Amino acid sequence: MKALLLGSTSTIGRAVARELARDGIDLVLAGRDSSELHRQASDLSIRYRQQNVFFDIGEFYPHFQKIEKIFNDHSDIDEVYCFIGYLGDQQLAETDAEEREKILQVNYATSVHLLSEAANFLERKRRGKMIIFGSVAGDRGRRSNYFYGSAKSGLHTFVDGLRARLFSKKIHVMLVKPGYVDTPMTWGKPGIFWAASPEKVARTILRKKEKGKRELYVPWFWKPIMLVIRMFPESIFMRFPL
Amino acid sequence: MHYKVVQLSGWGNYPVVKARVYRPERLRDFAHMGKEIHWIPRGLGRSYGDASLNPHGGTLWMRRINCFLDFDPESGVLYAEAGVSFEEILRVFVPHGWFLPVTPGTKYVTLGGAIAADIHGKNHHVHGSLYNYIEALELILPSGEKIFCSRKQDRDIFEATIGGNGLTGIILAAYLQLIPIETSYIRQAVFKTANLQETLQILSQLDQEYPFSVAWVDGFSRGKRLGRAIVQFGRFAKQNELDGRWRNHPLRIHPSPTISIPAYGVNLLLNKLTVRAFNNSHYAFCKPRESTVHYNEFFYPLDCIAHWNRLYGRRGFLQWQCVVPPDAGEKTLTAIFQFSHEQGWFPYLAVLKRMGSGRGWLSFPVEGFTLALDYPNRSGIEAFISRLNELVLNAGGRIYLTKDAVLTKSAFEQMYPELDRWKGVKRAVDPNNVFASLQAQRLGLIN
Repeated sequence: MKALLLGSTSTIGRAVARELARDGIDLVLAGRDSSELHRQASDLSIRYRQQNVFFDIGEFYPHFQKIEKIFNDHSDIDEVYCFIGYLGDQQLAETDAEEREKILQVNYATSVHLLSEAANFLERKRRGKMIIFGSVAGDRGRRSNYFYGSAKSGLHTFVDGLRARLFSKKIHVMLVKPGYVDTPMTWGKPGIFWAASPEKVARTILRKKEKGKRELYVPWFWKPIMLVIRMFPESIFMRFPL
Repeated sequence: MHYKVVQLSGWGNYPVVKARVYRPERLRDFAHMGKEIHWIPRGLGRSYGDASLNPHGGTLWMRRINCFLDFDPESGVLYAEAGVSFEEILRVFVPHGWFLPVTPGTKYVTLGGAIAADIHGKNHHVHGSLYNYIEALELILPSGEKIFCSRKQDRDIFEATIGGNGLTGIILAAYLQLIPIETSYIRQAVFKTANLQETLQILSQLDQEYPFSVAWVDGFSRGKRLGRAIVQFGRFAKQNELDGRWRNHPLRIHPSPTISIPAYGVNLLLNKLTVRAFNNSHYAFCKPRESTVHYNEFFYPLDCIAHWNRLYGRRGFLQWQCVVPPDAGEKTLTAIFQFSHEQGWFPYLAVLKRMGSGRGWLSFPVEGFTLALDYPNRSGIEAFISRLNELVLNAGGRIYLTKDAVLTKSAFEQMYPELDRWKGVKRAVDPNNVFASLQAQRLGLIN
């Protein structure tokens, strides 16, 4: 078995990579920071005596040829994970076009481009799994993170459509919506509670993937929380200082 | 990097300070460390006192800088980042026949923390401290410059950093020499002694025969029985010495902790009565024997209980460790126990061992006998520990900074005669005292 990890150096990406490597699965690590990828690759190969390679897919658009190269070189890939995400600075994004662009690019456009290429590849093989990271922030727009949230929301819709398209080709698509996980995104931020450890989240994801889950909230209690949040009438919800 | 405000303490839960904790995960995080005047790196928080506390600045929690970077299976040299724990090193390398060259009484320490404390283990009398097995260090200096230092390159910085309590910069990664083992089991010999004199004698006699030795002392026994102990010696077992059931898996690794103490406030379990009863029965039921035990049982008996420090309750405890010269050993150690009992302080845990010669600088080990004592924190403990420190100072001994929260500047300066050499390096690499801790402030390690 071989898995491609897009955005593998993210905190959850690293935890998932370690879990997969422990199970003896070969990895193709893809990200934007060569030195981090190198660190990760040597760590995995020493810890688990396992083969892996890494690719620097570069910034935003020019990476198309590279992802094609990944699929050409590693035609045995049968699982694609996507951990790509950038929370950004909500307040800065309200006034700064560059920050806005980056949030939309990373969370939506880049992910959509890469996942489309991956889907085309898996579709030709007629088997495989895709595990894509959205966010609970994409379930409803809130004033504190609506740039990030709306981009993730767009990604959720894209993933739903992708799942429908690939369903008949026997390709399983799982959307993971993490709540608070103990990563730099939540470290020291106000209002964070019960942040799950990345290792625990990684184990849950791999277990649920085997069960063929389509949508997964981690930790589990975010499912009822988001159900309640989605049900509030907008006339009330918009007054919440969330 | 963002910080998180956390109530932080060493393993003894005393003292407790409010700290701003930064947790780097990527190498580029070190380029945006945040605006703090002072920093102290921290690993798994197993130093007991205030060596990793820095309420006046940022605490750099290195646990997630934990990648293995390279390993040479020919020489056994591991290149790993500072946040890698000894537990992880064992888990990865024991199955391939490699072991830590030096290990403390817990495997839940990081490589960076172990280097900063220049840790010693049960084999100090033969193999010395961790320093002997560190080939090179990758260090971020207070100036922000990243350097490699070793015995050949920037030697002064190398010497000052090992045992430097994290005050010369950020240890990013290190080259560590692992040692080959045939099995992960220890062939141990257990002896019972009737008093301190016997304990010291057997330690001195049998030390040459075994690379590992340690004595558990009954800290409650007085009079003629003072210093009675169970003395353990050990060496790694050979494959043909293992029983049938183990011979097929000679390189088994350790299990996960079996119990976890969930919260403070269960200190009812641990009081003078229970500890006295435990000591008496432990001593009475111990049979002198030779046996084969797993390394986890031999080196890390307390690791099977996660958060065991919580047993001492919210007020925590102080572990105190000294080393006294060999000829002053019996007299001073007797005086320490007697004084302790007179004052009504009974050590809940007492561990004794012989040390080989040391290497100087801020490193703790010197030749002699080292004694570690645990006292639950009650009012008046600082005054009491200060008196113990005086006893040690007068005997020409010294205190281990990794266990300390009480030592005074003047006593410290007399205990570590090579301090000026260390301070010279500190001034050269860190003139503005970017790296500082509560302990460093108290002991005048920073200006």
